[in-house]
Amino acid sequence: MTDERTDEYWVERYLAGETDAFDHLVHRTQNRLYPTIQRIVGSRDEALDVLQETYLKVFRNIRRFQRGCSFYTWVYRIAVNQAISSRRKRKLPNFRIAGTADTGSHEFEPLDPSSAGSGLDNLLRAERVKLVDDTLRSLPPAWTAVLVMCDYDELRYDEIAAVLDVPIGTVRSRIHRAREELRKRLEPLLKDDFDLSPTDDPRRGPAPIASADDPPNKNRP
Amino acid sequence: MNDSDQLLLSRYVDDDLSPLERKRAEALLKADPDARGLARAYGQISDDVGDLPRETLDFDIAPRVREALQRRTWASAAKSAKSPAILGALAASVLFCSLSLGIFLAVRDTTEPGLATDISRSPASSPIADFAPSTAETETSLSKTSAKPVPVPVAEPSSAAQPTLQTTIAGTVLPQSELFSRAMKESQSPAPAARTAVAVRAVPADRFGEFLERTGQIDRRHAFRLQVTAVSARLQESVLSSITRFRDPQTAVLSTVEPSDSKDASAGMTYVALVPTKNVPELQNALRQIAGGKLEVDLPPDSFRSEDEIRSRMKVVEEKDLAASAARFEPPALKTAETPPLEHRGPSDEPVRDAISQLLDPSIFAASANGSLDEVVIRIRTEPHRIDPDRNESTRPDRRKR
Repeated sequence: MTDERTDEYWVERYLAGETDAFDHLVHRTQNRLYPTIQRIVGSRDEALDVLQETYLKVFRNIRRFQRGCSFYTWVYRIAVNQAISSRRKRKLPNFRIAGTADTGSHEFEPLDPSSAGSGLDNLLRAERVKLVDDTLRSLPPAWTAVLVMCDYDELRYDEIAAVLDVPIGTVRSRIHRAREELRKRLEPLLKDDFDLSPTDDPRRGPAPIASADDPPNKNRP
Repeated sequence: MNDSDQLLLSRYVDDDLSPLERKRAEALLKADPDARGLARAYGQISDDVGDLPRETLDFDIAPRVREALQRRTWASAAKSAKSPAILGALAASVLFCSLSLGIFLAVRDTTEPGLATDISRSPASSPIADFAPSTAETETSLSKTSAKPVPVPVAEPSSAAQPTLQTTIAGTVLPQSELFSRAMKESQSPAPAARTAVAVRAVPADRFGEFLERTGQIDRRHAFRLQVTAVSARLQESVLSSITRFRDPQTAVLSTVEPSDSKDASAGMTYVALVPTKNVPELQNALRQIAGGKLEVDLPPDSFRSEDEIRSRMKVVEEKDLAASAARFEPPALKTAETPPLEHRGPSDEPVRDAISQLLDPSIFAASANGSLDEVVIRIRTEPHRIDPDRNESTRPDRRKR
C-alpha cells in the first residue's frame, strides 16, 4: 500500500513534536535529491556529506519553512546550494579530454545485459557517460548546477532562478555558457555523433525547422 | 555567429523563447547551417546530460543524519578567513583566531548523583533521550589514545577557582580519526558517566521546560572546542604552544592548512582542540597576547566550520610535536585577574542569537533571564597585525607564493 501522506504532512507532524516524522521526510526525499547532488559534486562520499548537511540545515531551519509551500522544493534548493558550496570549497583538477585526467572514482550504473547492442556499444556508452560526467564537473560549480537542473532534473529557467535566487537572465546566460563550454570540450564526441547519425530532430540532427506545434524542448511535467 | 544568436539557440533547445524570439530562431536555423549544427550540438549535450545515470542510495541516511545532529556542537568554532587588507603585513599577521563554542548551561549548585543517570537511562522513546548522545560516544570522543575515562574536569560547585559557571556541559565531539576510533573501541569498558546535554539544541519548544527540568539533574562537566588559525610560523608556534598548554591533556589537537586549497600567501594553520573550562581565562590571556590584545566577537554564524569539514580534513598533531611546543610556552604577561570577563551576550546580539536560537527555542533567553539558564558564547578574533615590522614579512617556512 502506498503512503499517500505528503511531505508537508510529515513536516506538520514533526513540528507537532513527533520526532520520527523527520525520518520520514528524509526517507521520502533522499533518493530524489541524491542523484542531483552527485551530478554536481561527483564523488559518492562527497554527495553523501552534502546530503547529510542538507538535512541538518533542514532540521535546524524547519520552523522557518513556510507552510503552503512545497517541502521538496525547499529541500531541493538547500541541497543544490549546498552542493555548489561544497564544490567551491575544493579544487578540482582541470579536466582534459586528451589524456582524460583522473577525477576520482566513478561508479556507473551496471549496464543492462538485456539491452540492445553489442558489448562494444555498451563500452562506448559507458565511456561516453564518463566523459560527459567528467566534463560536466570540470565546469565552474554554478555552471554545472544550472545544467544539471536544466537537463538532468528538467527544471524550467524560472524554477532554476528561484532555486539559486538569481535573475532568470543569469540562468539563461549560465546555461548557454555551460553548454558552449561543454560543446567545445566534447567536440570530437559530438562530431562523431553527427557524422554517424544525422537526423532531422532539432536536438539531434541538422535542420531543426520545427513548427510551433512541435516544440523541440524536453517534456516537462 | 554572435553570442546573442548562440544564446538564442541554447534557449531554443529549452523552449524558453517568446513567439517572436522563436520565429527569429527558426529563421536563423533555416538560413544558417552553422546555426543548425550548433543547435544540434546543444541538443545532444542536453540529451547526454539528461541521460547520465541516476544512482540511488540503498540505505536510509536518516540514522546518519541523526547521529550527526547529536554530535554537532551548538555552535562550531568560528571559521577563519583571510584578510584582503594590508597584504604585506598580512603575511606576518594573525589572520584569524577564533575561540568559540561556549554554550554553557548553568544548573543547580548541587547535583544529585543519584539522579545523574536519569538521562542516560531514559527510555529510547523519551524525547530527551532521542536527542541526547550516548555516554560512551561522548567519552570516547574526548579521549585520544588512552582507555582511561576522559578526565575532562568535573565542575566543583564549591570551588573558588571556577569562573561563574559551576556546572556546564560537554559541548562537542571531536572528529573520529583512527586514533579516536581506536580509543572508542578501547574505552567500551565501564567508565564514569559523562553526561552531556548537547542535545538541547534539538529540543522542540514545547518540551523545553521538560528538558530544563531533566537536564538540571545531570552531573555535567564540560570542555569547549577551540579553533585558531594563524599565519606565519612564529604565530603558529605561539598558538600551538598555548593550546597545548591549556588543552585537556588527554585529547588530541588537530591541525590543517587553512584554506586547504589556497596558494595564497595568507594561508594559515588551523588548530582545533578541546579545552577545559577552568583554563579559559588563562588561554584567553595567552591568545590575547598573541593577538595583540584585540579580541572581538563579530563572526557571523555562517562562518562556522562544519563538523564534517573538520572530520575530513584535519589531522592529529603528533604528541612529540605537542610536547616540544609545550616546552616553548611562555606565560603571558597579563595576569588572569586582569582578563576582562567573558562576554555575555543577550538575544539582541545577532551572532549569538542566530547561533543559538536557530538551534534552540527562543525561550532559552527567558530561561536565562530568570536565572535558570546561563549562556556564554565566546569568540575571539585577532586583528591582523605585523609581527615583525622591521622585516615586514612572515617567517613561516612553508608558505606558498602565488
